[in-house]
Amino acid sequence: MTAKREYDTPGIILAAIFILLAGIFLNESRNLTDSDSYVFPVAICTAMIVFSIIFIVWNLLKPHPDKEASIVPGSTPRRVGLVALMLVSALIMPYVGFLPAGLGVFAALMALAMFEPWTWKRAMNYALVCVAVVIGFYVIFDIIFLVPLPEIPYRL
Amino acid sequence: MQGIDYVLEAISLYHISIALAGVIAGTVIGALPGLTATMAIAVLVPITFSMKPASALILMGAVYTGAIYGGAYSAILLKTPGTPSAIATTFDGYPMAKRGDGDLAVTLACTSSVFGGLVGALFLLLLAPPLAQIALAFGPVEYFWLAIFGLSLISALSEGHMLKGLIGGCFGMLLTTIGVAEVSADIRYTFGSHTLIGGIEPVSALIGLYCVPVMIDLVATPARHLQVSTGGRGFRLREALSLNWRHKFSLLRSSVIGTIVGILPGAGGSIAGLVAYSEARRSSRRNEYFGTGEPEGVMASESANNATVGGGFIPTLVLGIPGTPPDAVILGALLVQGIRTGPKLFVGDESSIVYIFIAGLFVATLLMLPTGLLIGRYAYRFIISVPKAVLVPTVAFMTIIGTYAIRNNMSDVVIMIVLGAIGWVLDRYGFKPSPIVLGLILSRIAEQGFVQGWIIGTARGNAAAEFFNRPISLGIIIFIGVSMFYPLIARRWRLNKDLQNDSET
Repeated sequence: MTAKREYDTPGIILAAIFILLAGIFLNESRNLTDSDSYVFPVAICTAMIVFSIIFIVWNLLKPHPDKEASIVPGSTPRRVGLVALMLVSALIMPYVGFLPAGLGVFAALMALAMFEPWTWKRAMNYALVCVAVVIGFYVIFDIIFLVPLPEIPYRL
Repeated sequence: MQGIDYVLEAISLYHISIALAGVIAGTVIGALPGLTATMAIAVLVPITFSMKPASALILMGAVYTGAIYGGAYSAILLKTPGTPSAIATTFDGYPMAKRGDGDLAVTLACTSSVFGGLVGALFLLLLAPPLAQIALAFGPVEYFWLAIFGLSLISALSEGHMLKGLIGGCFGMLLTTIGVAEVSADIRYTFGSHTLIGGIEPVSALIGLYCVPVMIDLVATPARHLQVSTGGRGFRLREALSLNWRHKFSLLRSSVIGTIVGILPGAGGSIAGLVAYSEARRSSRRNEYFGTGEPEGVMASESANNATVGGGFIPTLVLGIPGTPPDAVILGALLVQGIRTGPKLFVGDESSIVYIFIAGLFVATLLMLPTGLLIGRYAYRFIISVPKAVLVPTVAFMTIIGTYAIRNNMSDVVIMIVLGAIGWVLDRYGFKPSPIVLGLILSRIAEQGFVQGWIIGTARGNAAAEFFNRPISLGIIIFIGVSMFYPLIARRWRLNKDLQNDSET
């Protein structure tokens, strides 16, 4: 009975994507006229292509399945939700201001990361924590460190 | 007897109070990703105008030393370096925390930081003028090789996936080429996007690559963030000091490396930590455990990055060339006070300022032990006891606001989140974040050194000679070779020895 040949397929696909990425950068380098601007990136792109090709060829000739890349435990919707909420907060903050966006996104992230049943007491406590943390960050960054956080673009 | 006067002045109640306040403020600021030591000192500068120059220097030095240490908390407990100096601390600090030794890692970071800080201050006190000359001997080519030395760590951090590590390192370096070119200032690889003109800010990228994947996994399951050890184990100070003593030579070597790298203008704590980590790993008998929660790795990184504080002051005070970005702010504050930096500062009428400051730096570093242990204990308890529904949004918020604060730019936040998501996918398939971060951090220094060396070499008619014929460059190249191949040679040597022993028995 022959053993089944297992390839590191995701690794090979990602290496191919890296080759494509390096190719795009190399192509873009042709628009640069000053050699000081492209000599280093071209060297990096070349190295990336060479390493990726070696990786692919080596894996095809002598399969090395990545044992670590197994099924990921946990909730995928929560994972996607976290990234989406963080992106939403970054995109809406300049338009609605730091405090409203911060409070909204913080509360949504709290709900997303909650694995226990909500009770009134818990909800009240967490709401207070949400307000305290967001205002705390506002004070530290905007008032103490004078970081110009996005303002509310309208007057209440 | 003048020396005693300086020490007495430094340990006056006023100076101890401002050193204590500075260390506490610096530690808290350093623990927040995005808030750097440079920013903390810059905010303090207006306050120092009303102070005597020595007091101002003590306050700024205390904030600086506290901030460099504070970066270790989030590196150990959240896998997010609070400051770039703590990058190498994440390699072993976070695995230690994951297995339930976070308290020991935090204490070890504190004791090692204090040791490194004291060594850096000692070098500043005893050898400042001659050591400052070392900084002048480093040209662009030496900086290039130093960056490559840092990159040679990829072989150690790839966790059995050397090729994936190398590809990841190239990816990190490629990311930094986006935006304005280092030497020629051309706009490149923006693909018509205005968002990319500013380039990818390395600190925001490393926050994304390290912290966002941790949060993505944190939010997906109800499991605890870190293992919690049963029973109160206190600060575990005795255990930490015992480890420090056991690895005393490694600790001393890392501190000296940190001091020397600190002397080099522009190199900074991140390179010091990485180079010291690399050397500690190379010379350790347990090098195969590095990256899996080896205490010696935390010690190497933390002692080296705090040694850069004293080291960085050497060119700042002797040559007027800031060794690190916070030194540049301190130099500006000194100029406003009318202090002229230079070799005469150590022997002229104003020498009292320097010596009171150095004595104050010793005091601030020593104060870091009790304050660091206390803050570290509370930080650890907070992280392990806070409910996940509070921890996740707080950390997410901290990364967003911290990244925004670096350049007051929301595009950096978007890039940070996107890179974090990409980093999570890459990590799943064996492309670890550490080689990418190494590429990101070291690429600018490498490119600047490479292009400048290449221009000088071409002008002289032999570019290769410029890179391979200079004595300091050759020394660093030898270290790179040893660092890269020693683990392989040592493994083979051990295998042969084991085989011999087996055949004998």
